[in-house]
Amino acid sequence: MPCRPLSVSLEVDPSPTQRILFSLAKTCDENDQATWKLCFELAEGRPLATVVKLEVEIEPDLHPQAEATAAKGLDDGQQAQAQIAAATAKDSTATAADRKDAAQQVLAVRDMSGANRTVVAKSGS
Amino acid sequence: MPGGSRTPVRCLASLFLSLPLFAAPGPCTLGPAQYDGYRILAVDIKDPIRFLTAWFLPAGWSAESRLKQELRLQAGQPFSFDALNGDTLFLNEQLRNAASGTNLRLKLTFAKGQLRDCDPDAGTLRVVYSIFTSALSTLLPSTLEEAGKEMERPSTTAASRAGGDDASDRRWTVQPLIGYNAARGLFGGMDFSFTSGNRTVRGESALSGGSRTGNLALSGTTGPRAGLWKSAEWTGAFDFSDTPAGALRLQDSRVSGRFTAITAEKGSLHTVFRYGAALEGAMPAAGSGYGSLKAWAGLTGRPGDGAFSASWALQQADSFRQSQTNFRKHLIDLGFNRRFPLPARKAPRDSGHFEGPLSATVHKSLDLETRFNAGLIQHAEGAPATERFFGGNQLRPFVSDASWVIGDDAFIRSIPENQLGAQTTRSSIGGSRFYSGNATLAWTLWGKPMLPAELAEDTESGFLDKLNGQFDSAILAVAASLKRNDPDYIRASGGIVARAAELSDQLKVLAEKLREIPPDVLAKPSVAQAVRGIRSNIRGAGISVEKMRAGPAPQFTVLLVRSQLPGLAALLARLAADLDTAQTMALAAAIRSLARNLDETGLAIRQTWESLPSGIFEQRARQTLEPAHRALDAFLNRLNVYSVAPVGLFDVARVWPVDRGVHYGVGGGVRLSLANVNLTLAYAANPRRAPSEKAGSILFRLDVTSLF
Repeated sequence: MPCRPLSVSLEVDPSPTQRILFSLAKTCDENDQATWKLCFELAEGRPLATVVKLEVEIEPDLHPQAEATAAKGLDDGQQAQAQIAAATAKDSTATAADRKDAAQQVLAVRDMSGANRTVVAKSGS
Repeated sequence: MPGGSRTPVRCLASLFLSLPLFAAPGPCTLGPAQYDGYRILAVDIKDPIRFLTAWFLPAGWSAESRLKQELRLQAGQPFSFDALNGDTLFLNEQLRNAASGTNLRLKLTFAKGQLRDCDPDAGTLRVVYSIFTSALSTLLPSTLEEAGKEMERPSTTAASRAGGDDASDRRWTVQPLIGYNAARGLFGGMDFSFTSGNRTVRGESALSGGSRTGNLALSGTTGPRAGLWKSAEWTGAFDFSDTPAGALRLQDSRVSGRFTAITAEKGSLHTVFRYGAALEGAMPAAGSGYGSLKAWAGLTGRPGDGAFSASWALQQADSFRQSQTNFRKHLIDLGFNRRFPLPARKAPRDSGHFEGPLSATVHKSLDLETRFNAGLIQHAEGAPATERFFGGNQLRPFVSDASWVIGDDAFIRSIPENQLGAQTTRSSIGGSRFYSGNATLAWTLWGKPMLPAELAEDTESGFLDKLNGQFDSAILAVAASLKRNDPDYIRASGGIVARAAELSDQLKVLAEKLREIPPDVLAKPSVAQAVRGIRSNIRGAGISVEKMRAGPAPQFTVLLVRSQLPGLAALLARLAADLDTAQTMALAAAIRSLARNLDETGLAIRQTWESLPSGIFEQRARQTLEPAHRALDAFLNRLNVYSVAPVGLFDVARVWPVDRGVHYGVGGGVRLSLANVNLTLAYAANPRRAPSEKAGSILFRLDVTSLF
């Protein structure tokens, strides 16, 4: 299957005063190889104003997580990690590397054990 | 002539050999870079809500004009894979920005660049960008009226649902209207509305040579109030009407203040309860004025491909004069609609995954709409003619509210408006009792689906998977929010809160312990890397723990037990091994001891978390998101940009005490919905007509919805 570029944006639990936008973009190079980029944007206030915007090229070993996230959305852990990334982005003691790492962790923490299942119904419910 | 006989063969052979030179453009099977330099024949943006974008996007945002001009790839120019990448990102960014004004829980934007009709010989291709957003209104009520709109006005219904719950602060809609009925003749008019924030001004007027009707209303909405309503609306309105009823004219004007409310959906039938009340003052042209208290209530719901409603209404009038009898009116109105998709398709489960294949051709269906209503006026001698029942082919609503229609008269399409009860030998005209039943069957035969073929046929990018995935994400987010606010869940997760405090202390001790690593050991790359990872992990786990200490934080708990603590344990094991190697045994032992403590606390948290209920909250979250799911399902599987449907109709009605007996209406016609133009043209015959009655009645109605 030839590579075709696509771009998907998901918002994490939007509210009138905070918006965490998580975008995944797949681009194709001259060798028909896909490159994934993550864009993490935090907007706060009323009206919403961008507090931070990060772009991170996703490491190849996280490409399966990127594919799964683009296709299946964010799981519980990823939604929490997105908020941690937002908190880290605002943390004045965090370095640029900390911020990028926290954003990339949104992919890294994806639960790949049930790759086809995002909504998990537990026993005892 | 051997040479001559060979000529046709040579011609055929050369034609055959030259065929590849003129091969039809085919699929583009290579990577995009392989097509660099091809000439672009056309660039298209396939936007299933292209028609709708003008409704919710800022002025000037148009997929067809501005966006296309801003793309790097243009028709007639050479193709570049790099520009294809860039344009795809650009389009998603534009779509995302446009939809950012909404506070929807479910928001997905998607853009994909595709190549079509690649012709290696001519060196040409087409570029198609498919874009999509899920920004549809989630305040869509589960009502019969909404189901009816999907059948009768598919495009404009989709348009009104686009853009989310708060897509626009200020919005104008104007709807010219042309119609014909035998009583009024040809009439024309206009509906308009202007919305600013949660206030709306609506008006409607229709004029003909022999009639005038109209209303003007100012309304405001208010959000949910626990246990009472999900949304409520107050309205101040002025209505006037002047219509013929046989030899008589029904003329009155009235002012009213009313309140209506609708509860949240309940159960598998998606039933909502709605209710309202109004105070009204009326001034008929003939007779004296009176006041009325009106009250109405009902159930409506949309299970699967059907919809139902049952409404009851009461009007208690008071003339404020002792000499005049005060009348009381009772009405019931029952409705049932059902859509039968062709070919048959199972109705989606509540917020279940959308299933393919999606149709790239018209959504065909048989649409059945039925209605029964009846009314009774007590002390009818005190009721002015404008309140009595006349019957005919114009539906007279009890209150002028398009979102909830309760019939206030017999509706029969074979009798001109106000004519069934107008011709009588009795002294007073108009009835004090009525019933009417109506059935309409429409068969959508031809048209074009709202969803473009590029998305409907797209299997490679998993468009439906992405939509389903976003629904799953939203369900998890809503379920987490429900858990955080559920008293039982809060109580049950008390153990986690206590353990989180313990964990917080352990993380602080660990952070301090890292400071004890001697500088020469910390200088080792493997140690430095482990310490960096541990500090990063402590930072993240610390945020999770603080969230958990403040109360139930189910998503942070999942993250902690599933990722953060196992990750920390692995890093601590690596660090301890490095410290052993560096001969700092005591520190390594301390790190291992702290790791054990963290592991024990984490295990205790995990066990408590696993004992907490989860599925019930996901189920409730699905119900919360069901309106958005239904809107998207309609968009993917039901709505057409344009469609043509033959319609068949059958009515039965009777008005008492009018000596005209039971009347019927049997007929048919055609319903066209062409983007924002909706036209119904039909004829209903009157098979049991009295000598003075016409053989039937023509129905013609055309409305054009526009917005500026």
